[in-house]
Amino acid sequence: MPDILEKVMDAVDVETYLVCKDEEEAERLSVELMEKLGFQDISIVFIQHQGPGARVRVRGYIYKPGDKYSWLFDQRK
Amino acid sequence: MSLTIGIAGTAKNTGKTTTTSAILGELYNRNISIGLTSIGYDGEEIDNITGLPKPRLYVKENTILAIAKKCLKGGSAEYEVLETTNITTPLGNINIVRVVKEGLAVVAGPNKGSQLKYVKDKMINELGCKIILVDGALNRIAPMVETDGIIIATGAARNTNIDVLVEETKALYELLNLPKVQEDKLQHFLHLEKIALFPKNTDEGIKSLRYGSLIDNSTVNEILTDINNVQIIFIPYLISELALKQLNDNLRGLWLDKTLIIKDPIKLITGGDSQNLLNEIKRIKENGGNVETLKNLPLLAITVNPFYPKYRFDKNSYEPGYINRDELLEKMQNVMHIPVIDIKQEGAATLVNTLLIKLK
Amino acid sequence: MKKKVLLAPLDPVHDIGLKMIKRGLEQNGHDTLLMPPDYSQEEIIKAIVDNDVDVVLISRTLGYGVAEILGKFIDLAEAAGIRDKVKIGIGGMAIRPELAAELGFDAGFGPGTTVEEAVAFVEGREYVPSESGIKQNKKDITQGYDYSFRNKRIEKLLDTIVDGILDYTSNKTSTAILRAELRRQILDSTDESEKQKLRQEYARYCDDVVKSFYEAGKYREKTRPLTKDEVKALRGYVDDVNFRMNPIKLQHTDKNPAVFIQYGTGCPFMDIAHIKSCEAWGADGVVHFDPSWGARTEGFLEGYITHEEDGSIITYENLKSIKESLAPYTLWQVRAHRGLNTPETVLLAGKIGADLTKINIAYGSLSGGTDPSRLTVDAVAAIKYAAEFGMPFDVVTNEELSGVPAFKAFAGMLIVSKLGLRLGGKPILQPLFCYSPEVMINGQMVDNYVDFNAAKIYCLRNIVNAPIWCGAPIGFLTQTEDRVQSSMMTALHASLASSLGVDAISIASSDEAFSKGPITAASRIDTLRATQASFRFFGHADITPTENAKKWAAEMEEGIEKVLEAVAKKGNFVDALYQGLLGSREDGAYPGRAGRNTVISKS
Repeated sequence: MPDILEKVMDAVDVETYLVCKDEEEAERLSVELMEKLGFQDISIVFIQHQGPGARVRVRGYIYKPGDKYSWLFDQRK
Repeated sequence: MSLTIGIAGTAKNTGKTTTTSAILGELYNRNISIGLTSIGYDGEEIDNITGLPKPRLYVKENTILAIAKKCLKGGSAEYEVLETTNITTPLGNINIVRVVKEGLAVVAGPNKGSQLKYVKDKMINELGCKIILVDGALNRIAPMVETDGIIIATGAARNTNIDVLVEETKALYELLNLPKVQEDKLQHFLHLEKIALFPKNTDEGIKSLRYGSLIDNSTVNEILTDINNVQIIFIPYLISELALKQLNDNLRGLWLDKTLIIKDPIKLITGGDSQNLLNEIKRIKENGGNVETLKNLPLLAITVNPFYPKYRFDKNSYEPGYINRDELLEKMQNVMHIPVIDIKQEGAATLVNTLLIKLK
Repeated sequence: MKKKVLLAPLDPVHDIGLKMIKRGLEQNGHDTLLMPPDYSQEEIIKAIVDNDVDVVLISRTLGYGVAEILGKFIDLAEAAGIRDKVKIGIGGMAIRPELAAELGFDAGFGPGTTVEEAVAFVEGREYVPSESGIKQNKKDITQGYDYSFRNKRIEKLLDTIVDGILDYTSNKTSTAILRAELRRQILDSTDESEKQKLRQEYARYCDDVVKSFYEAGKYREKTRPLTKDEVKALRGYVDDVNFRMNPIKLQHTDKNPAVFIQYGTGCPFMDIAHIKSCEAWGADGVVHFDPSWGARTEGFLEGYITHEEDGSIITYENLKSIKESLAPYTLWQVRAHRGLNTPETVLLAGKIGADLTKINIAYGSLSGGTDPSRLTVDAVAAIKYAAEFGMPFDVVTNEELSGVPAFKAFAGMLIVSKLGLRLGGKPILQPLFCYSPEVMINGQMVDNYVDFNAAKIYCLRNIVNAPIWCGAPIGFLTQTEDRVQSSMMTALHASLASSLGVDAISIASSDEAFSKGPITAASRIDTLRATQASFRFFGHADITPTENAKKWAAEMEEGIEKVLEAVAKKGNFVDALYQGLLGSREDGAYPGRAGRNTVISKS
């Protein structure tokens, strides 16, 4: 994992507007986008398609509760 | 006998802290009791975790320090607080402390001249310090008026053109070493808080102006009103480069046999660019006038540093850069009559020798 | 003493901050002089001399080379002989006290500086850096309430019902009560072998999963002990974070309620990370959520334990580490209300120093599925602990979310509150601000979300003079997965609560409606920001409900009275719960769904 992601407390949300024909396509594109960005634990938080495209908020979890958080150990370096 | 020495840098990265550290180390070698204070502190290096400045000076037992409350725990050195002064700073009240366990310290002293005087007097008169070092901050120089002399750290970080650097330093040197008013005449000026015009005819009274500083056109005009009868122009406070130039432009040949007296060179140096100011001083002299100071602030030595952070446009970052060290030293030494030292290479032995001669 | 203050921007543009400070100074009776922008430093020095000012406030945006300019200004002031007569402060973006000290100013005002802070500086009161200036004391939510009943008929009915409850519980106990007593002995004992003996006895009153922990050191699935390194790292993390804490204040007026957030990510460390973030962004209090299985499991584990699902496990160590990480001004509630460990939870909370707890009978029975008889018996013991430790407790009405109408839920809440008063406790009423099944069906929120929520507060105020804490979280079921909509709903409900003069609110994160993963820290900040903005927007202005609010409040009060009459007539509160008087199967409640007959008769 690149160092910068270790500074993320829990997750990275990507918010954008995707040009697509329906919500199904938006979902597919959202997941594809996050995969392309290298995220593994992906959740679609919000998706709404209206006319030209979809407003989406997709989340890539870096740490989930119970994981070992790098930022916790980083502090005193 | 004691000596208070200010250490000022002309820019960041000119080696001010290196100079202070080296002097400190050399004084420790010679077992001299030391007081250490600073003008504020040089906050460039902030510890990202604590938000406090990184401790950069290594202090040994029995050194006396002036240090703001918030910085007491900022290093590894430990202290006995001798006095919590009424001097407040944004980092808490200034404490005067004695080092009880050696280590790194964040020195953060008072930042006004009057407060520096209080701390200095305390260190000398009550705590027996022989040498007081005053670490400068950024480009702050005004409080240095309370010292017996200053050391200036300059180098490539200030300007990478060696000739410009030498010229500029020389101008500073000359301004700091302006001739002093004769000792017996001092009393006429010491109490004056406003610009005073002393007449040629001593029967006439001294004319006191509205301001203590020469910083604007109206004051220049006020001086010019009856200039023919004036013999001495005394300016107790700030003199700005622009106002001095205006005065010169108007007076020109009228300077003949007139004397400009300033309180101390700091009142001039803070007012503008050293070289420009020196040019104005020279113009006065060329026109037959004199410039004297009540107090001078000798420049004791110059430390030079060939290093500078070099900006790389292609990488959008800095990398270490160096100018020609030998050339810098040689050119500087040629025009100065004081020690010029590359402290990183040579250490502070020579410098401290010079200081100790002053002390004796 | 009246001061003369010169305010000068060392910038080509006027600083709005200076204008605000100017106004503040004038309101406090000081003379001010605001310099036009873009004057030279010498001109400012001259103006200081000309006007014989006492204090100078400079503003300047920090940028490349600006530190030198500011340092030079101080040098000029000193060379001009005015430095000892005039106090000089500097304000602007990126100005910190350290930088002000470095540059030789008397004070530095960075972003977030209040006008009051600048006024204090001018008046020569001690310069207090903002971290200690904003948050001072914990709010006592119960302060100023005498619990007097305006509706005397309701009070009388409640007294009758409470008599019945105390009579019913007097000869009963439960494993939870026995465990709480043992836990107290374990905590108070200093002898390790005695502790071990007590633990063995404790394990006897626990479910198998907890028993196997005490007997064989086994952890429940999806839980694990935290490592020593993790525990150590946590201390370091909290210390460092505390050092740089400078919390925002959410409230804009005194009228704005205290704002609580709920945490329970499963991992006490992630909880602490979230808590510290919320503290920084202005939360006044935090509510501990335990895992849902915690309520259905007899007995607690020990040690630092993390959990991979929602809810953070209650152990002495987990709670203690959370308590130790809290800022001194943060209110802390450990909820104990719905499960099989109520008395022990309150005991642990009290021992560790929680400010508040949560005790309830009706909701746990009706929606939580816990044995009503057990909850009643446990509640009496739990309230006694709460009273002993001086912890006020809220009484929730979350059964509304299962479909129980508000008036029935309120009747249950008032019964437990009256029981609390009788036992020396300080109850806090917790009506929901929600889009409940009741209103979905009956249409009270077709037009707006304001009236019915307002009706609840009017109704409760008509009945009793008691503190109100709207829960939990406010706006429940109005939020969607869109964080803007979600934060907006939270913020508007917060302002409605404020307008109605309630004492506290619990707010959700903007992930409230998102159920596919853990809540993130960023989503907590969303709603705190939104709430702050909404408080700012309304100030002392009120939200005006329509006439429906008063009408529905009266109807609710009538309904409550009728329910209480029926319960009193029944003679036994537990039977009344089973029979659905406080929420029936038709309403959506299911009393005793997950447990019956778990109380023990005292012999």
